[in-house]
Amino acid sequence: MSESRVSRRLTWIVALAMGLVQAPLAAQTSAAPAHTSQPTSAELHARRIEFERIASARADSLKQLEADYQALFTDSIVAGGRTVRIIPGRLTADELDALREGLEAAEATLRSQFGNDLTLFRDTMRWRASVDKSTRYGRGLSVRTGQTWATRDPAWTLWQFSVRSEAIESIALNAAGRNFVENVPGLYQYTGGAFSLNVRGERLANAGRELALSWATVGRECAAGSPAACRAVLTVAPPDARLTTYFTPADYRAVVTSGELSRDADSTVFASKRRCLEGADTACVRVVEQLARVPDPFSGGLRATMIEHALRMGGTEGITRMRALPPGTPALQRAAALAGVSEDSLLRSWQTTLSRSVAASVPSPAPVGLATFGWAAIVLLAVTRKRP
Amino acid sequence: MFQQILFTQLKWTRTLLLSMAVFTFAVPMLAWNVGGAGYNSRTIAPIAVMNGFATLSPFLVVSAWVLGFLLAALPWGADSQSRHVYALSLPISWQRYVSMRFSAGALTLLVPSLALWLGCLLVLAMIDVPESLRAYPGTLALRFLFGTLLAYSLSFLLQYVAGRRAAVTLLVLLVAVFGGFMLLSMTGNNYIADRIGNWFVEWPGPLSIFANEWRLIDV
Repeated sequence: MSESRVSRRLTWIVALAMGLVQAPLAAQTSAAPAHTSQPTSAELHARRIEFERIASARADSLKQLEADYQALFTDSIVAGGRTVRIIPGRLTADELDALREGLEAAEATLRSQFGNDLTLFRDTMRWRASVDKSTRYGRGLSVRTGQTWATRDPAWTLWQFSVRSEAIESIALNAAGRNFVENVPGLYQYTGGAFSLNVRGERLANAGRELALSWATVGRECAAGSPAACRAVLTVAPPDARLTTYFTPADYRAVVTSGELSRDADSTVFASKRRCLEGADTACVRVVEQLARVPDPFSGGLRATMIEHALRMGGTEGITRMRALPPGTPALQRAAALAGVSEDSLLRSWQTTLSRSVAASVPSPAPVGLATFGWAAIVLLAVTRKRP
Repeated sequence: MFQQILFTQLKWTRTLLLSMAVFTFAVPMLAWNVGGAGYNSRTIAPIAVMNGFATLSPFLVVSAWVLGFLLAALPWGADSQSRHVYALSLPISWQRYVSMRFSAGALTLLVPSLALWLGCLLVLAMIDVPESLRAYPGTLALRFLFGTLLAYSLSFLLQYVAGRRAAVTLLVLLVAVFGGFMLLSMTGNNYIADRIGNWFVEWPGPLSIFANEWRLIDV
C-alpha cells in the first residue's frame, strides 16, 4: 500500500470516527428542548457502551494503518553512527547522499569537539526519513524520531527541512544537544530543553539582549559586567525565593505588572496594585508580598548558553570532569567543571562572549546607506535617459 | 538655477514637509508613551522607549514610504499640469533639469530626518540610559533619511518614466508581485518566493534599509 493512500485512508477514518462520536451528541443537543426528562441509567449505559465501541474501533484502525505505514520502511541507511529507516525508491540518489553526508558531518563535528566517547550525545531514538511535498521547501525531507513508531507517541518529533546536507547536519547536532541535556542529571530542567550545539552568534546576541533589556536589575547589572549579578541570573531560584534573588525594590512595579495575585487577595490588595501602577512605591511593596507566583525573569535558553559556552571551553576532558561529579551538583558548579575553570572565570568569560556577540549583531547603517545611495544613483541614471 | 528649483520644490511640498517634521519629532515621545505602562521610573524608561519603538517602528517605516512617495509625486504633478513647459523652457538640458529636481527633493528629506533626530535627543535628555544599553539617535535619523531617499527615488522613477500612467503602472506592478508570490505559494514553491524576497531585503538589495527594526535604544 502506498504512503499517500495510507494517509488518505487515515484521514477518512478519523473524520468518520469523529462524525460518529459527535452525531449522537448533536442529536442529543438538538433533541434537548423536546426531552424535558433526564435519560434513564439504562440509556446512559447503552450510550457509554456505544462510545467505547466506536473509540475502540477507531484505535484499532489507527493501529492497523500505522502498522501498514511501518511496513513501507523496509530499507535503511547507516551513517554517522545512526541508522535511518527509509522507504525504498522515495529518496533520490542525491537525497540519500545528502542524508549520509549530513549525518557524517554531524558525527565528525561531535568527534572533533568531544572526542570518541559520545555516549552523552547518543539516544535510542529511531529515525525514519521520507520525502514529502512541503509547502516551505518544495521537496522537503521529514525525519521522525521516537522510541516507538507510533505517530501518536508523545515522544515523537517531526522535523521537516530541505534536502540539503547542511540542514541534516544541523538537525543531527540539535538531536545530539538535546540528548546531552537529557543524559546529564538536572540539565534539562535547568535549560528548559532549549539547548543547542549549533551555536550561532545570533543566539548568543539574543541571550545578551535578554540580559541587557531585563526588567530585573540583576540582569542589567550582569550585562554591564558584574559577576555577582551573573551568578544570581544563572541560579534557578525556587518560586518563593525569586523575589529576593532576582529583584530589588526598584523592580517591584514590573514584578506587579507580570506577577499573579493570590486567590485570597482582597479589594485592598487590588487597590494597592492600582496605586502601585500609578507610581506609589510603598503600595508596590505591599502587593509583591501578596503575589501567588513571582515570575522567573530569565529564560532557560539564556541559561543554556552558559552550559553551551562551558561545553565549548572544556571539550572532551570537560565531559570526563563533569561526569565525575555527584548527581545533585548545582548546574553552575557542573558547568565550571565542564569548562575546567573557576566559577567566576566562567561567568566573566560567558558575559564577555555575550557582550561581543551583541556588539557584533548591531547593524551599522553605513553598508545599507551605501546600498541606498547606489540604488538612488541607478534610478537617477535611468530617469535622465528619458524625455517627457 | 538650483536655488530656484529648490524654492519651487519647497513651495509645493511645504505643508507635507512640516506635517512630517512634526510627526517625526513626536515619534520618540510617542514611543515612550506607548511602551511606558508600568515603567514610570527614570531608570526603567529606556526599556519603555524600546518597547514603544518596537510598536511604532512599522509606522515610522510606512511614514518614510509615504513621505518619499509624495515628495516625488507632488512636484511632478505640478510640472505635469503645465505640460512641463516651465522645465522645457529653461536654458538647460532635460537631464540636468531632472537631476536638479531629484536633488532638490532629496535635499528636503533632511527636514523630517533632522526633526526625528531632535525628537530623539529631547527624549534622551529626559531619561537615564543604563550602561548596558546604548542610544542611537543619529543612526535612527540616518536610517529614516535613507528609507525616505529610497522611497523617493522609486517614486521619482515611476513618475518620470511612466508619466501620467504612473498610478496604473504601480497598480499593475503590485498586482504582478502579489500574484506572483501567491502563485509560487499555491504551487508549493515558497522557497523561490523566499529567495526573491531575501534578495530584496538582504544587503545590498534595494530594500535592505528596511530589513532591521528601527530602534532609538539598543544594546
